[in-house]
Amino acid sequence: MQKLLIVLAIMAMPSLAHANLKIVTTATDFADIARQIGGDKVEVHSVMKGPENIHNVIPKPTEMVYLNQADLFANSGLDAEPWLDNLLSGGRNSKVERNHPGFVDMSQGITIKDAPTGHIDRSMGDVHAYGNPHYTLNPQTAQRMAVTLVKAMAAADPANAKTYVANAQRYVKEIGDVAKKIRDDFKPYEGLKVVTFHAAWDYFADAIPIQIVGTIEPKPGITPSPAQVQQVVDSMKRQGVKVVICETWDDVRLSEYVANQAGAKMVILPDHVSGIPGVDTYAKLFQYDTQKLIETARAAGVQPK
Amino acid sequence: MLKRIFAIGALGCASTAIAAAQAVPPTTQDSRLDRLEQKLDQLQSDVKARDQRIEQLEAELAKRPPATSQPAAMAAPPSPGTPASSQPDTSGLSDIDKTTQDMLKDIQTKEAATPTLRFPANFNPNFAVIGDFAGNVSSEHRNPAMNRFDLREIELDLRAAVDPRADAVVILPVDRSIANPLFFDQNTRQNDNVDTSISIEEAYITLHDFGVPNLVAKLGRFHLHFGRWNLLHLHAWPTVDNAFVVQSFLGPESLADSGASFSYIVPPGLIGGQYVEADAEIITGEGERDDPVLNNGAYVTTPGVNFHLLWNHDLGPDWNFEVGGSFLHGHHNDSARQYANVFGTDLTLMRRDPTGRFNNQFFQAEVMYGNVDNRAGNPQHSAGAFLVAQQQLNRDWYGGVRLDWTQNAVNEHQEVWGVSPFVTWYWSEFLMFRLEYQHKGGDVLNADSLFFQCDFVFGAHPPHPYWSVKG
Repeated sequence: MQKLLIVLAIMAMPSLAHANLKIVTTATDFADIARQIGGDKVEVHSVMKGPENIHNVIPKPTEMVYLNQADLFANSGLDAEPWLDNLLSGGRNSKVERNHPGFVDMSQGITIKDAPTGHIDRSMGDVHAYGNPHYTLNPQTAQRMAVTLVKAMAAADPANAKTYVANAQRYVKEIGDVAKKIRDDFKPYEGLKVVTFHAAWDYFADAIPIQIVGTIEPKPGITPSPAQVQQVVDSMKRQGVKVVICETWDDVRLSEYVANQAGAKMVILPDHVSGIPGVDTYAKLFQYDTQKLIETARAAGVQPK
Repeated sequence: MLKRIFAIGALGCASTAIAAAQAVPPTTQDSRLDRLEQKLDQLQSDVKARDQRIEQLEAELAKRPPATSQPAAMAAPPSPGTPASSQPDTSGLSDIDKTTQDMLKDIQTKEAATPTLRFPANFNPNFAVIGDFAGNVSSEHRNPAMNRFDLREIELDLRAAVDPRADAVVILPVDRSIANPLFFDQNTRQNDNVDTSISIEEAYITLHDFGVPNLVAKLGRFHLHFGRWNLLHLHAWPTVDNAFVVQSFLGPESLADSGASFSYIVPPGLIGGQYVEADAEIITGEGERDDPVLNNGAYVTTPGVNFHLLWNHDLGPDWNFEVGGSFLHGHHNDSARQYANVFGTDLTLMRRDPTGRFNNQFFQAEVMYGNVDNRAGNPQHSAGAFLVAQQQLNRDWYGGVRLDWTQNAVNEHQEVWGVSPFVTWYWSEFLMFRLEYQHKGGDVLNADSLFFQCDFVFGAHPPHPYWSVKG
């Protein structure tokens, strides 16, 4: 019996020695970066699953189990996740609380757009106090996020720091190549005018040369009235907008209606990794969105330059 | 423009040189003047060519589309490796290469990048004001609380960290309404005074890191963790009015009291990754005068206790199930000889739409059983339950129904039941309208009522229960 116990104890030892770095992320984008950098040395769990609006994620209490055991908690660092504080307090893990090394603010070093500079109130809709939080939709910000995350990972798990840094270097180069490819691919449609449902694509407009002429939502998070919908349609007709982008989680029927009324085409694009099945990495997300946009522009009769 | 200035400067220098040349002998002067004239011609021709090039570039720039229709990106303080966020330069692609090189260089350093610029809000708490306005039309004509409008509550919600290991919450409601007892007796004259009051609904500090992993403590005044519904504030209910069983056993709105609350999550690693939370609360046992069971007012000699145990489990990637059990022990009325014991079970089943398109469902039920002395040695064995089901129809609309049945916690011979379908419309997270029809029967006057509710919030995002998308 004693021998059996010793054997069991020895068998259990390697699993303890190889305890992986546990990373919980709010968004699937951060999770993909963590997987790319960490490989088999990390266990990654994303609270968001991909298709939903990050703002309206329903964090189940079972998510707290992951957070309870996490070494790092990567999040937007802005106010994109109003459910984050409930999750943090439920997680009961001081390692990942605010102002602790395990709390990784992924917005570090990224220039945030549209940060209000004067008085703000809810007449501006569900305005974000720190600016537009959809910064993940640009390969160059993905590169910055990879750097932010790898530093936190290396600090939390020094034994594997070299592996993380090497993987991060490879990843930054790969995403740089993706950035070049999508810009090259989109070059014939440079300056394509689009209307989006939500103001989620401003950073994407830095990655490929699209021109966002407006949003269907009159203000962030506010459903438009019929009169406001008509204004968008009229504006699209005046400006010759041929493409409407609807996020996976937004009102497809209304987007379709606006597109039809304006003589344009509507396309549903994921704004996060795993927003649709198969688009399960950052590289695939950018390539999918770019290709779909090109296909839609073609279908709408936009002539390549 | 800079080049133009240089060219003009060069012309100026040439003129000076010409003036200087006039001071030397004529023969050498002539040859030098010729050379200078040639140089001047060359400079003029260079300036002209550059002017043309500048005009050409300016014309090209004017033809380009603007970067975006949105305001320009805020200029954050420069930091190493900040990705360029201007309109892409399709001619060179150099910004991508530059970012890649900067990032590869930055990986080697240990310094974090510059944090995102935040507006100064030093030491200010998160601050929200939540208003609840309600009205109703009812066949209960003799109930003074019906057929009227009320600004039921304005709630001030303040939250902040007070220490690296402690947070504080203060919730101060200003109420204005007429008492509306669940077991309204139309033969007894009711108090029809409009009651306006400011109270402390909750005010506590949470110690979330005091050396015992997974344990947090609350000190102050708080809603007791008895079931799920009692934790909610009026504006977070899925329906306009409170569940009957909660009104009968705990309070018109909820049971809140002062004391200490300890909440422990059993380490998930020890129980197969399950979420099991155990709460123990010791309270003064006072309750409020309006509360049906714990209603001692200033009676504080014997504390009350409350326990809650819950298990939350995923039934699949989209379904989540929770079951909880509660036990509350205290004293009824201003008497140490009248005991009050209330047992409860709560069940929550939730499905979240895997496509993210808001097709979310939610079911919740609570059952309570009470053993409450309405006088010494005269226990009332009462029970009650509710079930609420809610379907989210799209981003802004919800529909559902609540079914109620309960006995009076202090009179087991009285019962009331109700059916309450409702529809909720959110204009945004901060403005909500709700309509609820209610048919009520039992040992009360059978009544039909139509409730209207409007809730508004200004300030920070108010916290809401995990099973509610908004509210």
